[in-house]
Amino acid sequence: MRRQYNFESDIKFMTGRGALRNATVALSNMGARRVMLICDEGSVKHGKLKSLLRQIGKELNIICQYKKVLEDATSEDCDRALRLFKEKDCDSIIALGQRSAIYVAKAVKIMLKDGVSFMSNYLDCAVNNISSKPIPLTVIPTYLSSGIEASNSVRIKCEDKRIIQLDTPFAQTNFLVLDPCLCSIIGRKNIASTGLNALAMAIKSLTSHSNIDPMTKVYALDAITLLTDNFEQCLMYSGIRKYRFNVAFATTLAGSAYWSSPNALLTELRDIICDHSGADYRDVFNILFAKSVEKIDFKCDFDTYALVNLIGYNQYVEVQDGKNSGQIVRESVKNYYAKLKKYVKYPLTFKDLGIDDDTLSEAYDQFTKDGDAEKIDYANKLLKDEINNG
Amino acid sequence: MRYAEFSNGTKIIDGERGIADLQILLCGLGASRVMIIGDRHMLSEGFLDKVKDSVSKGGEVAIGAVYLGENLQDSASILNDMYFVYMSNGCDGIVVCGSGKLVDYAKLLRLELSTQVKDISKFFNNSTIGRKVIDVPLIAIPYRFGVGNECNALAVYYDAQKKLSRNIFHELLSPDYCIIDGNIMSSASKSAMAYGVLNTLGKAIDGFIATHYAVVGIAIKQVDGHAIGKIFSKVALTNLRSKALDMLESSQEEKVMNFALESAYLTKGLDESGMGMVYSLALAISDVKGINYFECLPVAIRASLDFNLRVCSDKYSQALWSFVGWQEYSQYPQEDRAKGFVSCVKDFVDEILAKYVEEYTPITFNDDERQAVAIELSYNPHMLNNPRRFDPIAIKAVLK
Repeated sequence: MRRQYNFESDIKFMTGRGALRNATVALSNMGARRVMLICDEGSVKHGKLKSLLRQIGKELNIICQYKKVLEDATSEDCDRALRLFKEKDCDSIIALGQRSAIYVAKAVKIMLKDGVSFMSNYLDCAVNNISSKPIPLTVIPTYLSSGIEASNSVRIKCEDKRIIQLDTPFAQTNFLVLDPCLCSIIGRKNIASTGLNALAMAIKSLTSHSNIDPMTKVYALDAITLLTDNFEQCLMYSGIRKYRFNVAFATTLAGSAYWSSPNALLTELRDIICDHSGADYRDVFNILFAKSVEKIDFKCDFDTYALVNLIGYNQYVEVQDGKNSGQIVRESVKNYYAKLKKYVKYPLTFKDLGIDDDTLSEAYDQFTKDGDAEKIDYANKLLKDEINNG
Repeated sequence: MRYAEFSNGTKIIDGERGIADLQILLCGLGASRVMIIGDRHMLSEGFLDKVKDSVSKGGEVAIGAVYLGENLQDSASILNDMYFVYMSNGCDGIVVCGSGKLVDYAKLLRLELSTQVKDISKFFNNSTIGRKVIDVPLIAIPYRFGVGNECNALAVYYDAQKKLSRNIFHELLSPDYCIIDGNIMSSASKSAMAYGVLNTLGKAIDGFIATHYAVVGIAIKQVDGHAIGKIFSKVALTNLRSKALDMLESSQEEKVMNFALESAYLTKGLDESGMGMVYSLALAISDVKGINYFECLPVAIRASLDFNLRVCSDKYSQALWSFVGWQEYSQYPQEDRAKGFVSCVKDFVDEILAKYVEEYTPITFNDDERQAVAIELSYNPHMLNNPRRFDPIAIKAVLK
């Protein structure tokens, strides 16, 4: 069959020691003279902002800071940040922190491009396809991230709890900066959630489509290799920065792979469950992934052993004659999850996360409300058992 | 945790949409009057007309000039000609249809125009340009795969003064789009396709053993092998043998297209992680012997494998896993795996040459030529991108 790849991401990854300083040079070359910084409250509280400003404050002209973003990115945040950007006549944006800050920064970038003043306008209209001079966006993820920094997607909550979901190349990050000095110590549970989330994203992107483009393959395999080499050590010795950095790097790579492969159904289901339950999106995703590995057939085009050839040298992959790649992946994931249980207790079911059956039913109804047969089948496979058992 | 960077600058587009949408792409990039650079092959096959029609289809983009590249040996005069044609026709964008040196010259023209520095020798060393950069859109439409220059940030310039090829790295050398068209790709001869396969193989081997990571814009920087670069090699080597033989055997447009697309993605990634000895050696032999770069690839691949065998046994062993698959890999005793990889690759190269390349004459060297190759390699920063570094005596020894 004729293949048609569509890999449009052109993010520049800057990773390792000195990445922040190199990013300032790259930003200057892009013409950034008046920079706006958007960060979440968590980053301010945990000293990330201070540490960032210590590193680049003298080299970059940071004109203003918007640091009021909470756990959820809201349209109000976007409007305020946009106003600040215009008032101070800025010409580029740096986003620091978790996904809410990144969403707000991306939203501001899109609004500036379209000349829109209120985020809520996107409830009724789509992003304009006409391109104009883009605003350079630098994303500096802190903690162990969600991979959203590498995506084109934006998810903003409105005051009336409606959701604005945009997926446009105009929201693309230009520089993704991962500096070890910002990978601070976090709890084991958090490491487990993030690492498993990255592993899930990488495997999902490898197996979700029959025509995986080589770039997605490269990013996903790279993430898997980094995780299998560092994840366990990161859990055991969470104080060692090298392991935390490598897991964070794997997460961004897995994110790049995941967001450029077709996984819309799983992402939508995860977001709906999170909206209804308020649970951590990474935990919800990990549970859904574990279920999907068991119940949904892989669409990968790997012949029986190509996947094993690609992953190679991996203690979790058991190479046996007579097994197809789907079985090998299933067993490898099972092995991996079983092994991690020794180090940390992470949620395995929705009940562990405190999500009751009513909430799941509501999520199920919302997901399947438009009567799409594919969606109904998908939700039946992943949620129906859990709801019925309850 | 050492510093590394990676970017995916050029966007690769499948030809089904690409050539038809050329005008939209150019509008999006802000071009209104473009210079089309082509060669005799593209003209005689009628592809240049197809490109011209597509560019001027909607009337929003005009064709300022069409430049046909011939006698591409003298880099300086070709670049001067191109610069004159571009400026005198008031162009503001470039579309290059062709492969090899022509694409390199189009990229260098863009660099000259963007930085407003007409003297290319200013870019031989690591230097920064203080002037404001002018945006010059560049779209590349190659007709042979495996070269990789249609989507990377490297260009080769022949330095007539020193009589050697110079590598120039600059972010501005990356084309904005690379359009891979099945029709155009399958118009290349079988020999050209076979050499394309060898080029992809050479780059994958270089990527596997690369020790540094080339930072675009800084000729080469000593940084730990970048994880992303290694995986590119792994993906490139996996199933390469079967896919290449299948493609060469059938020559179906569909298979050529699939291989070309994958090759474009992978060579782009491999070039980003720094090219190594195979590339440098082939370039040096090509200059010394005065023959085509592609014809030097078989010698360069064999010599590079021998040169690094002792210090790269672990890496070659890993490469064997990817190249032949785990089943065949497990049949080799552990101590023979590196040698196994070398012999497998050599067999593969011989097979390709015997079956698909017309009139291949083995290259031999006399002492002066060996010396000249070693001298040229000393000017090439990529030569350092292998574990054994630059060792002129050993290089001369492997050039039998």
